[in-house]
Amino acid sequence: MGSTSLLEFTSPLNMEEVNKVIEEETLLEVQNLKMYFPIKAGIIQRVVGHVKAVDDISFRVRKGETLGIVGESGCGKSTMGRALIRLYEPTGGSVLYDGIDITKLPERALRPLIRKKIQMIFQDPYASLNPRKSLGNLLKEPLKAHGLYANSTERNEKIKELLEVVGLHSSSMNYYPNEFSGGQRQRIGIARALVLNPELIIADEAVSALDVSIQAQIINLLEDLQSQFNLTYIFISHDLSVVRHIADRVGVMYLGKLVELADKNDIYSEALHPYTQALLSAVPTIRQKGTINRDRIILKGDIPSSSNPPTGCVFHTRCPAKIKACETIVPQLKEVQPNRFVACHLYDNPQIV
Amino acid sequence: MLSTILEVNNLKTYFKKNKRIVRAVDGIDFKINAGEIVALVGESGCGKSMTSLSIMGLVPSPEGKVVEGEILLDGVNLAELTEKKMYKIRGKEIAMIFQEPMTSLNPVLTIGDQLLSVIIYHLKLPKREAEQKAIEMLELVGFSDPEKLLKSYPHRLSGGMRQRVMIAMAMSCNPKLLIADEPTTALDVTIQAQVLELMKEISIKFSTSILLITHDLGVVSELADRVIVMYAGQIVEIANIDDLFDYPLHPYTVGLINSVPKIEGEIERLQAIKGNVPAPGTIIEGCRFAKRCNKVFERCTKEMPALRKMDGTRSVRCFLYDDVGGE
Repeated sequence: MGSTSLLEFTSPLNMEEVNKVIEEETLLEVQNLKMYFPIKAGIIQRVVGHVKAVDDISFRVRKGETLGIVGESGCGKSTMGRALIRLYEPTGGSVLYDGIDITKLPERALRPLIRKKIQMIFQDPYASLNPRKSLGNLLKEPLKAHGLYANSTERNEKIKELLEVVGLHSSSMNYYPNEFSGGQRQRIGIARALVLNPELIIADEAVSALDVSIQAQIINLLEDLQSQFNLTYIFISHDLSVVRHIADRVGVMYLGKLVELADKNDIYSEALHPYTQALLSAVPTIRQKGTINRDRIILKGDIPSSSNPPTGCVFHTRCPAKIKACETIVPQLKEVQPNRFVACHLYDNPQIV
Repeated sequence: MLSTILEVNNLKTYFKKNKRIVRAVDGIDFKINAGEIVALVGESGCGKSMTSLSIMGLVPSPEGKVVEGEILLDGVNLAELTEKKMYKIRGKEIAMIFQEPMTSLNPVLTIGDQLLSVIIYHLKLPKREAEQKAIEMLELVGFSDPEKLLKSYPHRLSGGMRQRVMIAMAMSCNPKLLIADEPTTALDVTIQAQVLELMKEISIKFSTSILLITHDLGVVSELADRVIVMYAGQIVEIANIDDLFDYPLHPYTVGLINSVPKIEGEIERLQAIKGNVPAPGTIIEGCRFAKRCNKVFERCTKEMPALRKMDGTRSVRCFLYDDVGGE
């Protein structure tokens, strides 16, 4: 691709620049993704409306980065994760993986390409592990399905190696999922995601159900694996502190919309969207000596229903900085500074920023 | 000196599970003063919820039982009271709110029915006055249209609203002690901030003592005056809030604080505590944390350290501090 030709033209001293270009290569590009669920009513189950779980979202994921997606319950972050790999069939938009539009592929073509290269880790690993299969068999399944490795011995070797990588003893192959603790099960979930050597891992609340001491172990493991296997992560979570720790860039969702997307440091030091500001200020923090007291913005009211979202900007019903335009005009996600995207009328006029 | 509202002495709550005895709460002592917010912190299975259920007399029976110890509420030992007498205490003297308010609200009764029944039973008010009281309480927790709310069913409310109804119900009889078991864990952050703010206001307004049970150190830091850290059924450290976060003593407390990612400032790598929380019922010789401790030495694996008083407000269960201060 472009990176090889670039190498020829750049002097060896400029390796840093080259690395940067390679780093910024887009792995996944999401364009206007929509995921609507019909609301049916009456005897003949007529469609009377839609829940707009994901409504017109666009973003890119760079190779090797961790993109954090944060938002409160019902904002559509998990639905988006699933729609990306067609666990739900998206209502509209496209998802380009290495230039190929996943949404247009027939199911048959999906398997060797996408089902192998993109994997998911879920919040509750126990719910995604078959309780009647031993750990060895659980991990062998994907290898068989994709016809990898010639025989059972080779597969066993691979799995033993993998278990060591995720911090489980290789003898645990013969155990069943119920014999593991929560943290160990999440390690199994990770092993299961890694077994096909994926490029992109979508982690949906992967550490949310774990106790803090175990959570830290799993976060460290995910970071180690990323550098070891060159993985790209989409890390979906409601926990803003965890996302700050693990992500490179962060997208903030509210009622099916992406309201802000920027580098982690920009978001956490100076968020632009009023929702992001309120969200960050609401996180309870450990106050130690030297911790600066932050002003807390307490939002009034609850998140509106996504079956009947507010007109204009979806956040205007709770926004402390609302202006007239917010009630009628839907703000678009715009790049207001290099690599900083925000969907808010306050930044319509570029001079303000 | 502030008056003591609740005093727990050598409380032991055991369970029978598959013919084995699980020591869920294994000899804990603490006090809560009037108007104080005390947080009980620990990871799952450390016995923090079982402590609160023991105080309320709600330990699942017959498999679980308070086998030893005293729970003194204003001098009355709750552990010895009959179920009938506990009825008069629960909801009146001690109220409790839970993690998931939907499971503690009856789905087929209106908010009014449920709120009024508490007020009428404990305060013995006539219906009209009770209704007035209910409306007052709902306004206090931030509802703008309480009359209409009294006629609604719980499923119509959002999680944050339900939790506020629970707080209104808990506070309606002006209890001496409010036990809040993970009150904001199931809520979104923006809603959590609302509820925490409300709890702060309420504790000041009613000067109610709160026993806050949580695993979230951020919530503890926002709300509590004093903290009790539990591990495997025992208290490992008691400290004032500032002391605890500025100078944690017990290696487990240090580990807990260091393993939480912070919203401010950057840490390269989280310092995880190795290993797992021991399964309830595991018999451990010596210090229960020794296996996971990064400062372990020989004595830790043989002897159980005692919870030692360091200075005025601070206690710690660790051999590292055997020669330092205290009695």
